[in-house]
Amino acid sequence: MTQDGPSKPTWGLRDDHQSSDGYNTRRLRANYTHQFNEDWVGYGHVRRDWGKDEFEIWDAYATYGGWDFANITVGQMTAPFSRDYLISDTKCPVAERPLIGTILSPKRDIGLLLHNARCTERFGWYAGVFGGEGANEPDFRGTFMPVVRAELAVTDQLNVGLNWYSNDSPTTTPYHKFLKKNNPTRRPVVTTVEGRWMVITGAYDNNLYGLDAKTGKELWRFTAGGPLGAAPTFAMVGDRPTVFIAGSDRTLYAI
Amino acid sequence: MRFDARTGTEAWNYETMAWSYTVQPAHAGSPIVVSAGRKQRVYATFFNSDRRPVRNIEKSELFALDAEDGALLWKRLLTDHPVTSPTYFGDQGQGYLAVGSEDGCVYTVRAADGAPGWKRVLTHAVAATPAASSIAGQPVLYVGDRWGMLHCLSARTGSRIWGYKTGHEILSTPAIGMTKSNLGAFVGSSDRCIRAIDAKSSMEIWRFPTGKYVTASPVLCKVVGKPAVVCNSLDNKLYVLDAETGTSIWEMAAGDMLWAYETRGSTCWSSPAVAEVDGNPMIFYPAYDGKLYALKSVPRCFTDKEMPAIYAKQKRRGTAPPMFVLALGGLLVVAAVLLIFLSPRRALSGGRGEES
Repeated sequence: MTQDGPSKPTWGLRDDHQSSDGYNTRRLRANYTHQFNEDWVGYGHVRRDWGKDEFEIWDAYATYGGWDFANITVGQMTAPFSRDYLISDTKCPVAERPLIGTILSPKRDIGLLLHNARCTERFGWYAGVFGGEGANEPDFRGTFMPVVRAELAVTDQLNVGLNWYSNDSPTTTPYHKFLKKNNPTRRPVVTTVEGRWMVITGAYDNNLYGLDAKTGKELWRFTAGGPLGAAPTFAMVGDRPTVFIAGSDRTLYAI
Repeated sequence: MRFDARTGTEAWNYETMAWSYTVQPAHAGSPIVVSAGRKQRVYATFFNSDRRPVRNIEKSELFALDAEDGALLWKRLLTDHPVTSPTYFGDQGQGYLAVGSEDGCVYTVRAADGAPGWKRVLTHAVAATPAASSIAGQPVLYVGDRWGMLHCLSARTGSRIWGYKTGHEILSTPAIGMTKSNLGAFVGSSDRCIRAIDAKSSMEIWRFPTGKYVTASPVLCKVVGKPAVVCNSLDNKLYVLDAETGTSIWEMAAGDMLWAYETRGSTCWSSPAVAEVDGNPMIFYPAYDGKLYALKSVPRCFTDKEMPAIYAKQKRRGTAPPMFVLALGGLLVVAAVLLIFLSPRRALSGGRGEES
C-alpha cells in the first residue's frame, strides 16, 4: 500500500503510451499517500488527460492495516478482474497489466477488498466485491462483481496468481457473448413502408430489426444465420417493399 | 404475398458459398439496388474464405441478382482480398460498378453483364466504399485508402485527378454535397478529424478535430435551411457541423463502446443516417454502446445546443443505485472495526503496507 514512503506527495508530467488508440498522450498525474495513524493509510490519485480531455479521480481509497487477519481497502481502486492476469508484481495489491490486449484491461471501480498479500511466507489472497463491472461508469447497471484471488510468490520477483470473478457484463465476457448484445451496425435504413416510417438496422446478434422511426418500437425482427455487420438497403421491388442485407453467413437476404 | 419489409418475412436468399466445417465468416458489403429497364437488380460483394488444407479458397466476388426472385444473373471474381461495398455510377449510357479492395486496387465492372472495366492501383489497401459524383459532366470517384490518401479518380479511365493526404487511414466513405460556394467532399479520417475538401481542387475547406478516430461516414442534411454534416467518431460522440465553416452546431455523447473487436474487413463502425420523418428531420445514430439513438432536430433545439433523444433503443438493464455498494461497504467496515475492537490487539503480521 505504501508507495514511496508515506506522506510524500509526488507530481509528475510524463508521456504515456495509450495502447487503446496507439497515440502518445500527455497526462498530468498527482498522487498522494497519507498515513493517518499506524493503522490507516489513504491514497489518492488524480489525473488530467489531454488525450481524452478530461480530469478524473483515478484512485481514492483507504486501507486499514491494523488487523492481523487481513487488510481492508475501501474506495475506488483497480478492480482485479479479467482472464489474462496470470502474473503480477509483488508490490501490486492486485494484478494490473493485461497480457493480451485492451479489451479486458482493468479499470478502476468502487469496491471493498479484503487482502493479505503475505499470509504465509509465500501465499497471499484477496477477496472483495466491486460495483458494476470493474469500470467506474456513471451509469451504474446494478451488477456486482465478486472477486477472489490467490497468489503464490514463486520467487521474490514473480507472483503467480489465480483469479476468479463473477460478472456478466459486456466488457469482460468473451466476445462471442458480446455478439449476442444488440449492436446496431453501419448506417441504418430510414424509409416509409405504407405510410409508416421505419428504421431498419442489422445487428451483431444475427438479427435485422425493423423499428418504428417515431417511437422506436420493434415491429419485426428477422434472424439470419450470422452476424449482420453490413448496412441494409431498401428498395421497392414492384409494389413490394424489400430490404436487402448481406450477412456474414455468406448469404444475401431479401426481406 | 408472403414477404416484405412490413412483416419482416423473407422473400428469398442467395447463398454465395456452401457451408463447410472450415468456412470462415464472410465479409459482406452493403448491397445496392439499381433499376435496369423494368427490372431491378441487386449487386452485392462477398469475401468468402475456406481454409481447408486441401481446399484453400479466398475470393471476393461481385454478384448480380434479380431483385424479384434472387436469380443469379452473373458473378465476377474480383480478387483474393476483402472488398468494399459496390458503388454504382453511370457513364455514356452504361452503368458501372466500382469496388475497392484490400489489395490496394479499385475495380470497375460493367453492370449489365459483369464485363471487367479498368483497374487502378492506389497507394494502399482500400477499406472504404468509393463515393461517386461528377465534375463538369464527367463521372468521378472519391475513395480513401489506408495510407490516408483521398483520391479523386476519373470514373471513365481510372486516372487520378487529385489526391489529398490526411494524417491516418481513411475508413469512411466521403459524402459529396454542395455547400453555398463549392462542391465539397466531407470525409472522416483516423487522424481524428472530419474534413471538408473542395471536390474539384482538393483544397481543404475546413477540418474539425474530434477526440478519436473518425471511422464513420458523414452524412449531409439541412439544419434550419443551412447545409450540415452529421458524423460520429470513436470518441462516442455524434457531431452536427456547419458544412460551410466546420463549426460545431451541436454534439451528443453516447456511452462507451460495448466491446472492441476488429478484424480486417469486419468492423462494427457504424454511421448515422438522416431522414425527414413526416417532414420532421431526424437523426438516427447507431452508437458504439449498442443503442440506436433517434434524435429529433427541431430548430429550437439547435439554437439551444441541445437535442433530446426521443428514444434510445436497447437500453441496458440495471436500475439499482451505486449507493447500495457504498452502504454494503460501510456495513462491512463497521463490522470489521467492531471485530478489531472486540479482539485482543496483536502485532501486525504481513499485509500490504508491511511487506516492503
